[in-house]
Amino acid sequence: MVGEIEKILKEILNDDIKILPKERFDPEESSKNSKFFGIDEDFVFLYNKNLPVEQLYNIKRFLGNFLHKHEEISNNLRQSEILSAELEKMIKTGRDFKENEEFFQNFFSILKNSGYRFALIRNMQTLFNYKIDPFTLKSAVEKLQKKSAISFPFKNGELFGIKRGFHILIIESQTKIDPFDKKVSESKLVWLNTLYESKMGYEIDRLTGLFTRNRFLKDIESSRNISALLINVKNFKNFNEIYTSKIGDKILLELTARLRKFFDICELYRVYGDRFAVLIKNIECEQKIEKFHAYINDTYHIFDPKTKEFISLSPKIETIYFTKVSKEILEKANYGFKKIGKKRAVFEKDIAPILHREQKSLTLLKEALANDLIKAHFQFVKSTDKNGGYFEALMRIEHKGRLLQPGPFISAAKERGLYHKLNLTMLKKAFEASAAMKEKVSINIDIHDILQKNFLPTIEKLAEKFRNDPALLQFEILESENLYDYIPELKEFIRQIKNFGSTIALDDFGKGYSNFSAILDLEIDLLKIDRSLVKNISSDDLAHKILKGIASLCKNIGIKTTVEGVENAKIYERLKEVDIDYIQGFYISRPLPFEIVSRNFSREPLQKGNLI
Amino acid sequence: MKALRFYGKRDIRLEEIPKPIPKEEEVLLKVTDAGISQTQINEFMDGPFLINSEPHPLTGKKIPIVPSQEYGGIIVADHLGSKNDPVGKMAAVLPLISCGRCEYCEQKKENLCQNLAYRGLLGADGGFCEFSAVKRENLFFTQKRELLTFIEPLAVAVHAAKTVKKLIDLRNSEVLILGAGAVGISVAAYFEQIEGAKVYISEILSTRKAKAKEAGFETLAKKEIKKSFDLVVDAAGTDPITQKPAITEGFAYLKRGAPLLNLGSYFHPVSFVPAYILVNENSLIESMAYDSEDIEKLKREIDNIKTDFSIFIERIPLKDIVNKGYLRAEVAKESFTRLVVEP
Ligand SMILES: [Zn+2]
Repeated sequence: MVGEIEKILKEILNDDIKILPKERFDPEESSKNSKFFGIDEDFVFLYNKNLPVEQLYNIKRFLGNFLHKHEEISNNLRQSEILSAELEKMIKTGRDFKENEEFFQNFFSILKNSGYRFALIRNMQTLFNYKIDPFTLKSAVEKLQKKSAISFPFKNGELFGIKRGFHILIIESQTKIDPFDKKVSESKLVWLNTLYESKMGYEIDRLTGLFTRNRFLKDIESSRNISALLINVKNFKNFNEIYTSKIGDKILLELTARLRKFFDICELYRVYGDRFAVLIKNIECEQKIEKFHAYINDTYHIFDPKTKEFISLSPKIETIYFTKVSKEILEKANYGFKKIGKKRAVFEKDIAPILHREQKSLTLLKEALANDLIKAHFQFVKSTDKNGGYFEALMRIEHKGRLLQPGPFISAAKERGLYHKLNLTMLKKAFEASAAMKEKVSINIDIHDILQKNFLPTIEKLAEKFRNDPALLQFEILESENLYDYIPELKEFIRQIKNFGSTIALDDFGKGYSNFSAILDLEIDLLKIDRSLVKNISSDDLAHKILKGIASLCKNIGIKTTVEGVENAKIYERLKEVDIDYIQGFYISRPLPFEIVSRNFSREPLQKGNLI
Repeated sequence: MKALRFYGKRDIRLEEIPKPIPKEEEVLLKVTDAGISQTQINEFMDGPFLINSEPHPLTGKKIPIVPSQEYGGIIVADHLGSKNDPVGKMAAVLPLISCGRCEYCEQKKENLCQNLAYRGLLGADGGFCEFSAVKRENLFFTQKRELLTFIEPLAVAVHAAKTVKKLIDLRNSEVLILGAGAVGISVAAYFEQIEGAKVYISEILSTRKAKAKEAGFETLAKKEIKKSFDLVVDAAGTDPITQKPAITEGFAYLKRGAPLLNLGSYFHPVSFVPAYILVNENSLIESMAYDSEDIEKLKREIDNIKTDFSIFIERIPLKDIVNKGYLRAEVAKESFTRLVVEP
C-alpha cells in the first residue's frame, strides 16, 4: 500500500520521491543528494525538487494520517487472521490433546514465529523451553509464585510471565512484546490449562498441584520395585483450628515447596488433607530420610495477610517408609500413623509385626464369633453383711481348647467393627444366666455401647426375650479416657436404665481417669474400686486409709462399693476394717462357667474344697 | 501591533494585539530579530510542553503566549517616553525571569527558581511581535545584530561549561557536539574559543554541516566518529528523522568515565540500558538555561568569541512566519540553520 501511494505521489509531483521506513534510512547519506522530512515515528519522506513549504506540509499531514490509519487497519487485519488461525488450532487441540514437545511447540507457534523465546512450565516442571536460559527461567518462575503475572524490562526487550492454573508461560523478547501477542498467549494458556484440568483434574490436587490419591493408587499399581515415604503432619489440625484454613493452606504450600526441593526427581502426592507421599524409584537409604527430617522439621514463617505479620509455626512431621509398596499402602499408613508414636518409622520393621499380631487376633475373634466360642464366665461378688451377692459376667474366648482373656482382642475388635457383635453375644449370655439363676448379674459395657443408638432397645428386647427381672441386671460402665467427654449422654443413659429398673455401677475407680465430682453428678448405684488401690492394703497403711476414706465417703452419699482384687486371706482380713458392701476376687471365687455356677455354688470365701 | 501567538498544538495565529506599555524599570524594544528554535517547533507539533495553560504564579500570564525566547532589537523608549539612554541602543533580551525570593534565587541559581518564567516559553511573551517591554536588567547590549538571537544560546553555553567544569577540565579536552543548530554552534564557539577545548561537530543534515565547516569548525561524519571523547554534548534533542535519539547515541562516543552533557529537550520517553553506562562509568549531566553569574561572564567574554554568526542566519518577515518559518522548520529542516524573524 505504501508503495502505491509512493507511485501516485511520484506522478503528481513529478519527482522521484520515496517513503522509507526509518530503519532503512541513513540521514547523513541521503541529505547529500535529496531532501527529506520525518513523516511520523516510523517513516521518512524523501524528495528532490524545490517544493513549496505549504505543499510539503500538506503531504506530511496527509501521509502521517494515512500511514497511521493504514497501520491500524493492516494491524487489525493481521490480528484477525491470527485469531482465526488460533481458534482453528484451539478447536483442533480440544479434539486431540496429545502432550509432547511437538504439540507444545506447535500450540505456541505464534510465539516462535514472532521470534520470542519462551518456556512452558507445569507444576514446577519444565514441559518445553525454547531458548530461555535456565537462570532467567528459574527466577521468573520463582517470582510467579507470588503473582499471577510479571513483566519487566530485560536489556532492550522484555521478560513476561503469566500463571494460569497449573501452568506458567514465560516469554523473553529482545524488543517490547506486542500486547496482542501477550493476549493471545494468555488465552492459549488458559485453554491449555482447561484442557489439562478436564483431562487430569481428578489426578491433580488443586491447592498444591501435587498428584492426588487417585493418581497415587494408579501409579503404585503400575510400578515395580518402588519404595514409598508416607508423610504425615501430626499437628496440622491444630494450625487449622488456631488460625484459619488459609494459614493452613499456606503451611501445606510451604511444605509442598520443601518437598519439591528435597525430592526433586521423585513423584509427589497429596494423599489426604495433611498427608503426603513420595514414590522413590531407586532404593534410598535411611540416611536420606534422616536428612529429610532435619530439613522438614523446621520453623515455618508464614505470612498472615490479615495481621500483616509472620507467624512462626513448627509442624510436627512423621514418616513411614515402605521399602515395598502394595495396594493397601494407604490403609497401612493410616494404621501406622495411629499406632506408632515414632517420628521416623520403617513399616516392615516397626509396624508390620504389630499389624500381623493384630490381624491374627482378629482372625481368631472372627472364628470364635462364627463358631460360638465366645464364652461367658461368672464371678461371684460377695456381699459383706449377708450371704448374698451378685455375679459379674466376664468374657472368655475359647481357642484350641484353651480359654483366652479378651483384653488383647478388644481394641482390635473396636477398630474393625466387631465389638458390637461381641458385646451382644455377651449380653445375651448374661441375660440368659440372670434369668435362669434368678440372680443379679453385672454386665460390662463401655461408652461405645452407650453411644450406640439401639443399645437400650436391645437391652429391652433381650430382657423381654429371656423374661429377665430388670432388678437383677446391673450395668458396669468401664471408666476410660474419653468417658467424661459424654456426661450428658451418660446421664441420659443412666436415667433410662434406672427407669427400666436396673442398677448402674462404675468400673475401675482409681485406675487413673477418675473424676469424683463427675461421678457424684452421674448418680450411680455402685462404685467398683480398682484392684490397684487394694493390693497393698495389708502392708501399706496409707493405702488402707485411702480405701477407708473412699468407702466412708460413698457410704455417706449412698453409693454402694465393691472392692476388686481380693486375692488372699490377708487382704480379706484387712478389709474387714473397711466399710464396704461387696468384695470380689479369687479369694472369694474365680470366674466359672455357667454350667457350674448355675448348679450348687458355695458363697463362702474360698476354702479348701470350694475350688472346683 | 502584529504578533504571532501560540494557542495550542498546531494552533498558532498571526494577529493584532495591543502594543505593550513599559512600566518603571522597563524599556520598550522594537524587535528586529527573533529566532525560531527547535523547542518552539516541538511545542507547535506536539505541545504544549513548557508553555503554560494555567496562569503563571509569578506573572499571571498563560496561553495565548507570543513565542521565541531568543530575540532582541532596538530600544525605542523608556517608561517616561524620553529619549535618554538607553534609547537608540541595540540589545538582546535575556528571557529568564526569576522571583528573587526562593531558596534557589538566594543562592544565585536563578535557572532553578521555583517560580521561573521564561520569555516566549513560560509565563511571558517572547519575540514574535513588533514591540516588547523589557526590564533594564534583562537587556544585553551588543552592536552586532547577528548576536541578538545568539545571546540566549551563548548564555546556555556558558552555563553548560560551568556545569561540565565541575566534573572535567575542558581545556584541551576532546569534545563532540551532536547537532549544528543554534545551540550546537553556540556551544562549539564558546567551548573552543573561551574554554580552550578541542571541538568537533557531528550533524546529519549536510547543509548545516557545511555551514559549521564554513564557520571554521571541525566536522565529523558518523562513520568517522571514534569512541574517544572526553565529553559529548547533545545539542540536537528530539529529531524525527533519526532512529536513535542523540541522548542515547552519544554514550557510544565517550571515553570510559566521561560524561554526556544534555542540552536537548526531550518530551517523549527515551529508553536505554543503564548498565551499559554503569560499566563504563559514564554519566549523564544536565544543564538548564543560565544564571546571573553566567551573564556577567558572557558580558566579559563576548568580544573574544570570533565566530561570525551572521552566516547561519536567514531572515524572514513576521507575516510569513507560519509558512516560511514553522512549516518549513517542520518539513525542510535541511534548508536552514538559523531562521530569524524580522517583525
Ligand atoms: Zn526564585
